[in-house]
Amino acid sequence: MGLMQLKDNITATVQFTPIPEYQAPEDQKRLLKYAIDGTLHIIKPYKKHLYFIPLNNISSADATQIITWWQSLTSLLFYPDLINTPDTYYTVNIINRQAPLNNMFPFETIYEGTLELREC
Amino acid sequence: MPSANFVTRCQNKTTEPSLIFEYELTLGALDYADYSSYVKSISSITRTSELTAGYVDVELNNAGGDFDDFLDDSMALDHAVMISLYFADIAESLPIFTGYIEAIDMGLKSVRLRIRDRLSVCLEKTIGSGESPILYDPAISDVSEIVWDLLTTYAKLDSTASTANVDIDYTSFLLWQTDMNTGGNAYSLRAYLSGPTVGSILNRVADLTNSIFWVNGEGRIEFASAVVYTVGTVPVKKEYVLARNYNCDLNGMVNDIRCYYNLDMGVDIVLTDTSISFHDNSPAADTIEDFDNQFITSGFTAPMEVEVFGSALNNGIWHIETVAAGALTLYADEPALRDEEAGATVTVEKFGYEASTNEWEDSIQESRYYGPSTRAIELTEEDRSIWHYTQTSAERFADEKLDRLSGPIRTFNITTAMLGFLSDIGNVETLTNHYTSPNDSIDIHIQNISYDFENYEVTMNGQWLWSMA
Repeated sequence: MGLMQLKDNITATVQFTPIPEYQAPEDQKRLLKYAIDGTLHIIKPYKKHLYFIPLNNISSADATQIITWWQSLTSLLFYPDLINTPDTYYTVNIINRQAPLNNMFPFETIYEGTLELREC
Repeated sequence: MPSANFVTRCQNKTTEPSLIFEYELTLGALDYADYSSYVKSISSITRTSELTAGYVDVELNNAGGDFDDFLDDSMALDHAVMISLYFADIAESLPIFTGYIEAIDMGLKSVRLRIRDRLSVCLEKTIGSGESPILYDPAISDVSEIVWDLLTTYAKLDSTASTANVDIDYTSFLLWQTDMNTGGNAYSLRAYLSGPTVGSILNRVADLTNSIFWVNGEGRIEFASAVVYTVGTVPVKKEYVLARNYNCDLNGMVNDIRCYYNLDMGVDIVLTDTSISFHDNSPAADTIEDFDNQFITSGFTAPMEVEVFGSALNNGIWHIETVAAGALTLYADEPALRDEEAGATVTVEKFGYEASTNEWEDSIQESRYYGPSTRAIELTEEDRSIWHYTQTSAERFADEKLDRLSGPIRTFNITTAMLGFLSDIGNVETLTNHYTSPNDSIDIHIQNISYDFENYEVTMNGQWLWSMA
């Protein structure tokens, strides 16, 4: 899975790679529905991008930065694939209800968690 | 009404709909702003024909603190919101729910709004009291004027008598009003209200006139009857239906109706005297002894109810069996009086307004035995707070109710994709080509509808009426 990046509008930047189980969301959700006569209905409701990114092995410094962004409700620029599409980014918020990262037990200096990002 | 283009998009096999969530910025100003981008989830929206309040839960993203006003602004609640189905390519929306924020639940990064429709506010208002009852006389107010007065005077809804009314769908009200007053076949109701809620009385009016009242997507109360309804825009063919279930049930059937009408309210009389005493004659009926025959001279008669105040042992409501010189006899199956000598200030009062020599002046009975059952499934209509005033009104009530209920109850439960968003309570949708002739065109009267914005599905429940000869 590719390298991702979060960046605020000052200088702070955090780069990370999701764990292998991560699946990127489709560009546009598609609802497929079959009528009783077999007719296929394709409904493509427009929704803002929403990401659930499982992470581990995040350094203490990066975790502190991410938690600071989360606490301060900062809008960020999110680059979902910094290697292949470095110019594609979305403005997002971290919308976790609880702190997004916690200690990766038993290690005290690295962190894990699932980052929830939503396009503004 | 949605445009032809909007209807087409709901029929298309590939569509790109979205929802719009609009939020009133200034309380009472209806200055909606688009907050759709904040919506995280929205619950299903359900409407029924039973005049219940409608609710929807909406969870909004509050990561940016946009809804922190709920923390310290006492006026933040009660703002209006509107949820609409929207097609960006034609820039047209169709309101599905309009209501007011009733409660919020704020998490760390989100806020959940509980939104109620307009009707829920007025349902709980009370009308009249035992001290100051409200009387609606058909010589002054026809059925529609009673409903209008309930909604505008007691429920405090907008009283603008035009299509500019923000609370009442004036177009459907006028059509319904005309139907209620159809010459020679008009409904006529009289009411004596001593504290019921607006909701309960509107439900009674709806039941007595075979009508439906509900709140439409724009938040306005809409009206339909057995005669006035909206025919669905597009035939509901199999290609639009995701699931279909048919049900036929004897439960709910009514094929024999006795409807009392023209209740004579009489005049309330209070007898206060020391010249009476109470006698427990068990096992025979109990009596209230009346040394001076005041029960007769004051107009007490069977089968009125009386209420006793101020006695030492026998306060309560009793039913009169007979009134004779010297004694008022109560029903033997009443709870037994206790022997008691005449009290100093005992009061015996006709209870409520049901008493007179003409308690019910008339009644009609109509039957229409039908289908596999020939037994009578009876309904007796004898409400004493609101009732039919004329025989014509009572007959129409019985006829229209029998039209709907005298056979086994046939219902369809249909789930559609986008097409169902064009439908609503009170519509008649036509199931086309689902079955072979003669059932290739089936009209169903929609009674419940549920809009699911997460999956873009609509589930409708409606009744298929029998063709009555």
